[in-house]
Amino acid sequence: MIEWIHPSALFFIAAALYPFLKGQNAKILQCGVPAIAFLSLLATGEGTYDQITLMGQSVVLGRVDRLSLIFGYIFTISAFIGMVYSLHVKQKGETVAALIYAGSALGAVFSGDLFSLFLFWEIMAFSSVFLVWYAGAGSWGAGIRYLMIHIFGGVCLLIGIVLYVSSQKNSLTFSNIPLSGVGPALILLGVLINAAAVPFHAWVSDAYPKATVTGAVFMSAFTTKTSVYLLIRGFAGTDMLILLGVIMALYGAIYAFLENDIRKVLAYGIISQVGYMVTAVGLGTPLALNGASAHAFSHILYKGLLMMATGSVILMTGKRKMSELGGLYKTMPFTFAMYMVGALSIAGFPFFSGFVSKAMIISAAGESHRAGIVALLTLVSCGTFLYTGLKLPYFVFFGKDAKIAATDPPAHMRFGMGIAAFLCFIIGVWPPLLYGALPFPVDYHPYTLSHIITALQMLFLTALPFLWLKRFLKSEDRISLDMDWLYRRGTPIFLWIAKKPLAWYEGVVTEAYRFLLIAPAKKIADWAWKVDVHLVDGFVNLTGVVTLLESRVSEAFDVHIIDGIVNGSSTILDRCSKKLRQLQTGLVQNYILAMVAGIAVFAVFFVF
Amino acid sequence: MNLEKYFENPSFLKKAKMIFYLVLVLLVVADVFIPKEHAVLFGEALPGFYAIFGFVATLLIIIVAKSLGNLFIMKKETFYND
Repeated sequence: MIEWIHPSALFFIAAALYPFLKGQNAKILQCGVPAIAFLSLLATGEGTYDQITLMGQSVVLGRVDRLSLIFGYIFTISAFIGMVYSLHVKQKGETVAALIYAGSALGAVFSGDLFSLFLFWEIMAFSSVFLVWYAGAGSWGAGIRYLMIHIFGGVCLLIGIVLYVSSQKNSLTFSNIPLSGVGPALILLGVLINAAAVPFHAWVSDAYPKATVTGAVFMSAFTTKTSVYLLIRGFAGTDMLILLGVIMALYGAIYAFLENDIRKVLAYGIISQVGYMVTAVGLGTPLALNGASAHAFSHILYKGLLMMATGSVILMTGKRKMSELGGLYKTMPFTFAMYMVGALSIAGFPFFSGFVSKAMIISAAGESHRAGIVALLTLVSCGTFLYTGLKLPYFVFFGKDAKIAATDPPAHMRFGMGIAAFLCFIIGVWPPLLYGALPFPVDYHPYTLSHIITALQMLFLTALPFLWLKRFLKSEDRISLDMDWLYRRGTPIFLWIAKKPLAWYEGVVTEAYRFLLIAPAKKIADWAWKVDVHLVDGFVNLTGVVTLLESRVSEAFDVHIIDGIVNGSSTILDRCSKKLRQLQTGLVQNYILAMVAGIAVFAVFFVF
Repeated sequence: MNLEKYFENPSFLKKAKMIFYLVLVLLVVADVFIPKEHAVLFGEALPGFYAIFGFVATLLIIIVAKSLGNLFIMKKETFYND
């Protein structure tokens, strides 16, 4: 038996071969590789593999323990499901990007040191952005914004790693990182940006809904959950994460409820659900960390399923807004059924996957006697059922019949959804399947009578107000402002500040000078002239002339110097904002160059 | 799969609604006989606590989300393309 095949290697080789294969062979490759990777992980024992010494530092590509294995299992399973679902995709580059993306996510999970982690981290960002760009028109800007955020996160991570490793003579080994000093804080910030932590979350709701139908399925699985893994590994028990997670859960739920674009609802749902996991990491007890891993596992399955179902709706109808859809249960009954399995799972309905994983997190909060956290996370559970389980399916599959001619999607897409739905259900009815793979020994029983009854009470009583109020809850043809406003509107606002308030300030200054200096000077001059005319000639005449001259000088001062300063500063601001704009829509090559430069700095740092 | 004969049928929908309310009542009644383990929240031991919690929580989410949306979150769809 082969002891260890690095799953990333399989995926990267597949990505390299894929462009040269045609028809059946290509399809076998894209589905076969995740399947083989999954089976090889099942056969792998715990241990340290692929250890190389690089520039005097040990680099570990294969740290295999229970924590990395459970993420490895689910990443390969979801890659398999996604590949089956995307068998129809014609653009080879898209599948190549998906293979590299999945491979690098697995690489990040199995890497045992901070250097290879950073490398895989960057490959993830640069490969996944193509899943947005392949969607074509309208996705370019969102892709650039996605990349900018991830480059920022990557830079934070890199600087953090360098500071952390250099400051305390720490080795590159990645394990628990005590949160003291700037280095660890920057590492945490970089990880949190990828975890879509509020307020760095807008890239999820901005880019995921604009990705290709199949791309969104992959994206919903890997990036945020890789971060959850890193948080469990590096920052378990960090108090601050408890509150942050609750904020994410609430924030995502409120935005998801308001949203009209069906995949944007799901994208905000990701932020909300990852919030549960972040809270669990903050709690840091074995039950909580088991809960975070279990919830990541079931979340990848049901969110993938929901993304596949809504993707099918978008592909078959060409519409993506709730306000334009309706009555699809008649024409797409299979998609509807699959969607509902995903929705009941995310809502934590008994006998579906979310029930057995979310409950662990809430119980862990209860065990730590944090009643407020329990109450808020339970409240968000109601919200989750409200927006994913009631509102979205009601307005897409029922509601006002939009009379759209559509059918269920092709067989392979139905098959992909079927596998995910089956897994959601089987984990729900047979939790030992999931619990057996969790990082810590599990002594947790989700199916007690009181737990089932209370969960059902809550979900039924969430449905009741919805049924009463549903006609008021229709999504509006509007979009929601979120943190992406800062960088989508930042440049124009900068320009506006340069133009409007500074111009106003300039006007005020000019006016003030006129009022305070020039006008009195003229008045004095006038008066002096009158006095002069009537009383003294010759001598006083001189004073009038002097005053007049003085007023001219102060006017010139005002026009040339004060105005000059004000104009100059606004011109500089204008130029700066133009430069900033160029930075924003700059070329990808530049970013790649910046990344390569970063790695070079890293390398130099360890050589000397 | 032909779901229309159920969802377009008023008598089926009426029956479904009756069953829904019946189950709801049964769930709360069942709560009286089943002791709660590890109660954390205030009043959690009361029968039907989670029914009330779910109802209030849902209304709260609807009201908070809608009012925040109308206050400043929701903008015209053309907001970013002008």
